[in-house]
Amino acid sequence: MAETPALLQIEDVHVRYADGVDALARVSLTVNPSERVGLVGPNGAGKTTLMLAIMNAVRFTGRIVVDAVEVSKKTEHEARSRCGMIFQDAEDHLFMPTLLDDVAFGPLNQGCRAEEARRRAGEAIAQVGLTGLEQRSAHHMSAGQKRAAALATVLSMQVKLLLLDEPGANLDGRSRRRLIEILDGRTEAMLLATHDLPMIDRLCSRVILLDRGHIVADRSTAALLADSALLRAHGLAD
Amino acid sequence: MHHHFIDRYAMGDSPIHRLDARAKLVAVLCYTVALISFNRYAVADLAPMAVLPLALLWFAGVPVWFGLRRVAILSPFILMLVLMSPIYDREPHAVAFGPWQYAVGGGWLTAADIAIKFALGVLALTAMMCSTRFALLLEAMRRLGMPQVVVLQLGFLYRYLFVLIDEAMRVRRARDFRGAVLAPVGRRLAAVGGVVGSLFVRTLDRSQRVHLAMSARGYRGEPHSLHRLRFAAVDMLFLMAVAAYLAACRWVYPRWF
Repeated sequence: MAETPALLQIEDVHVRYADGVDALARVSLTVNPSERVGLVGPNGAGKTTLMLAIMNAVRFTGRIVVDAVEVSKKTEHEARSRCGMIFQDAEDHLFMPTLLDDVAFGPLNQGCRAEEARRRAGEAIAQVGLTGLEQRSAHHMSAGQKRAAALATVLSMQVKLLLLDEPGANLDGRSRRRLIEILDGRTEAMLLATHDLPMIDRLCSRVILLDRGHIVADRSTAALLADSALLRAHGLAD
Repeated sequence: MHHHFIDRYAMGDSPIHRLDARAKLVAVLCYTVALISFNRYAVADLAPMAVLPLALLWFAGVPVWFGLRRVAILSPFILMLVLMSPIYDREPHAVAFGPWQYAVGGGWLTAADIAIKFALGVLALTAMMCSTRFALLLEAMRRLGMPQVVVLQLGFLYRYLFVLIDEAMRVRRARDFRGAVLAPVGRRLAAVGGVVGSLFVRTLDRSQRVHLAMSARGYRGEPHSLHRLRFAAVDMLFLMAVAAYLAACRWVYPRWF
């Protein structure tokens, strides 16, 4: 039987910032369709940079392929229509006057007609439990609602891969649990960068440990979380 | 601070809310042009100009005090102009009030003219903002030919103005909690410079992240909108009524009264 091709392929990716710091050093990994992969590591490990490289928002050498589209300047719009990234600060993600406008922004840019964009936006808003807030501005939402709204903005684009950068940051216990429930119900593949190990444990089957731009470990969640010496060595446990 | 400062009541449902955003925008623009076209010494001629903003507020279900509060909050912007006018223009002008005639310094008339025009202008804008959702207003501007980049900037201003204000408050609080109020003036001024610099850098960072978020969702510079505006007969009727009213205020009322 033919093997299913990986949804995300990263080969020898290297990112060097203008100050000479190597944010990523020869990173290679794959994510399969519907697979949920956790990305853990101390601050400055390169988690966000890796996601930005996938979105072609930082210069990199090496090869990144998203759903059979090799990421480059020429193909970035095509690649970006296949994966949606949610930033650490949801405030950056919600730039339109109302929630409905924000969630419909992606589908409209994908070429959907207004009615189709409205339908998709309505569905995505319902999926994250924000029905009734369509005409609300992000400024009048709680942190948990903003996070859910940010998720809706990429769900409406019907992407195949979700890139989630610290999705649980600054959320209270209830909002965090709600977010985990929403994410747990998704079928898209996920790359989830966080320091929240219980969230990884709940959502991901596999975890990649990054430190100083290098992949230190790529194991099943259970195996990695059980290795307390490794976690301590990389600042993830006391 | 909240958007309620700008467009509270905008989600309501009234005959004014239901009018096409373009009709309201054009009406308020015409009103503003008519308002500033009055002679600065003919203060009494402005009296009927108060009817339109007050009527719009009334029919939109917006309390007049709400509009007057906005006038009071924004008044510092014209305070200096109003205060300086009597000093620079002392030439007396005859003012008739019914059968009585008075000689009033031109500066006082100019001061009253600026204050009244400002108040009426703000009331008219408040009536429009409180009866039109901001997204529809942006779409109306776009349809009326305003450059896309200006419309986009206004959208960002609306979205991030209060985020920036909140950020400024947090930075100021952090400064004050570390005893800035007790520091000598020089150090306090240096701290203000630090706050402004920090806000500038944060805003720049945020703008880069927002741009990235827009690009990540397929934005390539072309405008797209969900909002469909419909210019109906009632909108045309509204505009014609406003035009007739403005003509009457501008040319009929000053001659007859």
